[in-house]
Amino acid sequence: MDTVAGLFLNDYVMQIVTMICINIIIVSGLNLITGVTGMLSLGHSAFMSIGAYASALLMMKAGFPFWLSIAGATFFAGAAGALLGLPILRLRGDYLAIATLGFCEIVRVIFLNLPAAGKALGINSIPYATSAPVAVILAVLGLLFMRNLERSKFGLALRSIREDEIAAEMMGINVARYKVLAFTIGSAFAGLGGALYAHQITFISPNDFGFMKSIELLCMLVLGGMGSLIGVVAGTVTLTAIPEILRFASEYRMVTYGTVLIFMMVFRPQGLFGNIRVNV
Amino acid sequence: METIVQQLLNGLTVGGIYALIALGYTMVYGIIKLINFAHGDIFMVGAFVGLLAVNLIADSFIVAVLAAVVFCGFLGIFVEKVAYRPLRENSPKVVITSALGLMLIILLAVFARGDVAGIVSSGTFWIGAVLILAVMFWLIRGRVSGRNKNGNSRINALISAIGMSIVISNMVMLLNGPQREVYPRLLPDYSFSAGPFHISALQLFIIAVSFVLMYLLYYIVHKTKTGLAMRAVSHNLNAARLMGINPDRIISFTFLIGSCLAAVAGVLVGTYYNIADPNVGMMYGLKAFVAAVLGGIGSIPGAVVGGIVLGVAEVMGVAFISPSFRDAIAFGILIFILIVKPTGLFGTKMKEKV
Amino acid sequence: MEKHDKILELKNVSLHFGGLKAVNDVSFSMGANEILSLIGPNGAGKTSTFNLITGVYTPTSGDVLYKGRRVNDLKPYEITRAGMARTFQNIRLFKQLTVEENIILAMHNLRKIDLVRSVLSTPFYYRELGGVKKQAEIYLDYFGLMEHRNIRAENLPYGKQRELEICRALATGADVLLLDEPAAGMNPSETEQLMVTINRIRKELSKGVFLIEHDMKLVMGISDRIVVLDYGRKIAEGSPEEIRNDRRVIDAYLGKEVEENAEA
Repeated sequence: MDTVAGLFLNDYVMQIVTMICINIIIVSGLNLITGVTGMLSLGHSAFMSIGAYASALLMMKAGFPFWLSIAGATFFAGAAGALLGLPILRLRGDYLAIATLGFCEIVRVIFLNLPAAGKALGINSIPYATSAPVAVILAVLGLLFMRNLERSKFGLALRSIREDEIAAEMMGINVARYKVLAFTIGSAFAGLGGALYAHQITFISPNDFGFMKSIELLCMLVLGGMGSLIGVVAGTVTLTAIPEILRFASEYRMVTYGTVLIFMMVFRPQGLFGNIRVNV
Repeated sequence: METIVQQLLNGLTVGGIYALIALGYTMVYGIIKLINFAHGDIFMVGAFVGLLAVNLIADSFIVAVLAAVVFCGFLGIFVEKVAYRPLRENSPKVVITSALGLMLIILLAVFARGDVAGIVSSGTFWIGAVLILAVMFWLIRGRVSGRNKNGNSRINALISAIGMSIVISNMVMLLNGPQREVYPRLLPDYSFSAGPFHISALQLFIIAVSFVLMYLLYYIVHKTKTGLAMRAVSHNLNAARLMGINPDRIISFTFLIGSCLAAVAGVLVGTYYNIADPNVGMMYGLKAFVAAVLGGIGSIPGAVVGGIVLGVAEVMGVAFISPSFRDAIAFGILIFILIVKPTGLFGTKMKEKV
Repeated sequence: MEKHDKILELKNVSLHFGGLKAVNDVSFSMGANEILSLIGPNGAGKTSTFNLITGVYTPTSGDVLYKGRRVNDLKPYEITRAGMARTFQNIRLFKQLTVEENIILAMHNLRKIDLVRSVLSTPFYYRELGGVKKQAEIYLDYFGLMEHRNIRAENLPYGKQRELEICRALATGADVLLLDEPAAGMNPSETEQLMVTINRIRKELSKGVFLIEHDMKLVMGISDRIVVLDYGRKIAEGSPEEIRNDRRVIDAYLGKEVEENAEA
């Protein structure tokens, strides 16, 4: 019994579990934006970085306690999502994707040049506070929140926007408002995840949150199956664990990763658990 | 004043290169509405193949360009067949071609580093191979029988493209190592003075080559039969098919041309900066893509103007604002143009009919 | 009460796209419990007129009045809230939502549940949802869609999809339904069924129905009045009998079809 517990509860495994839970929170936010509402975002990591920096600075510079810091980070990321959403959410499909991509790079460059954020060096020795239980509890709460939101009248409105924006508007849905709502909540989740990340890894730098990070998050979502919370969990677990498993073959890691992505898109385009199409 | 003109020339040079890469994006997008994220990496491969040719054959610009163009042309077609076509079409032939291509990639990766005999004789290799084959077989059956339905067409293609981009750039790193390589000076670089300005012949050459190739492309698309077919496919793939055009061939041709232009750009950049870097593909690709959007994606003159505007803006921004904001300038312009005029400078308006 | 009879009124409405006059100085009105048809050759500006009324376009000049209130500048969702809902020429259902969800979505603005209680799934959430489902059942039952309620809208047969679209428009609580070519692609027996349905909606639910249609049998069979457009202008208005015999209408396009009808 001891050995079994030892096997599953050692630090390394706990660290991976924490990482998975953090990614579940972030990817479920992306799922709300892309899988539920049908807005393709390539800039999700920008909100993650806003959350990470906000929380680190709130805790280290303003002396906030952990819970208040991550709440503040969630708020800041959500606010940033709303502010960005207002002008760009009238763009559709690829154009929206490109604009979010641009935003992601701009945020990275801003943090690279911000003295308070430590410029290229980032922030070191952030207090460690994201223990595995904290991450697990927040991930479960996050998933519950998303499940309840999706089945509510608001979630139904968001899904109808994904299906047909014009028809949704004609059925009395204020499409613009709901898109901003979805984008705000999704960004806030990314911010929360980013904050937890900062307090787990304890050092952050702008290049941790570049465009490729956004892509990685999107890959988790698509691999699991868009629009499905089970898919969010499955995709996140798979893509967080694969690089760890492949660590022994570090040279081949990225090539394998890329091949797996193409492979999945060609042979199982709906993802592991997905049963909807998202046409952006 | 003098610095402004000087910087303008630098901007034109960078812009010409962006434009050459942007053309590939714009053509592929115009024809299958796909952002070909692997395009930037094909550009990077072009630089490395040129370098390899110079080392193996002769220290000549022509040799480097020819080798890069031929290799990247094939690479472009390969990418399309392996990563994009199976998302459009479900026939067993297409799907199996893609599977074989992916296996080729895996094999190349496995053998990229040395000891081939040792790997082949190891049990792990064969167990892995059998496992991969079994999974592939199972999935191919699901795919061909239609059990795995077409998913989210656009997003799937996008992720497939990103997968390709990751594969290509990391394959180069496997084969070459992650370090930058010094690029030989393939062209003599005179600079001469005209009044207060120093003009580099290399810069003029790059600008000239860019414009000639762009004109050539414009000619192909607008004056030849193949070009007409390309425009037809871009307009309506199925209608074009009914008119006796083979859209797959046209799409392959588009990837071929786009990749060739990117290959030339790769060799030019290597020669200009004297460096080949396996990591730059993504960033150059993104910038060129911004240029394509700026000009109106799908439009050839748009890509050229977009590339030049972006190049000049970037160089001016670096010179007069701050070098550390270099990347932000490009993306700032991008967001601005998307909000003000989403279809870009030369794009045509597409509004959904109610 | 004269004023209330005119539930929808267009006063000298024009819509210009650059030089093109899609709708040119068109005026007509519609009674609260009327079946009004809008006909005309292809490109006459029928769908543009619908788009003007439902807020997709804003008139270049003139006024659109709903229940005496000027609705020119309202957004499409505000028009729906005000009480007019539409269907589309090429069906626009929420394909991957179930039939029932399509109806429940249409009831969005009638539902009284806030975000917080939804996310917390309080008892009130379940009570409210129960009520909404019951209401949706009434609508579905009315259209004979109950047995299909849990399948995705995209899996319905074509005729049923058309009916679901009408049902969905009705579920918004609208007083006026705008149906854009509801019989397009239907076979004769489905069209027959559609005529019965439209008549029932008017009589039993006392709604107004405004429809664009090419099927003359349907138009002549159920309309109280008909408005004819040609090149963006109104060229005639009147009862089916009057339109059938109107010289200008016959000249414009109806001629052949009226004769065909007469033979049949």
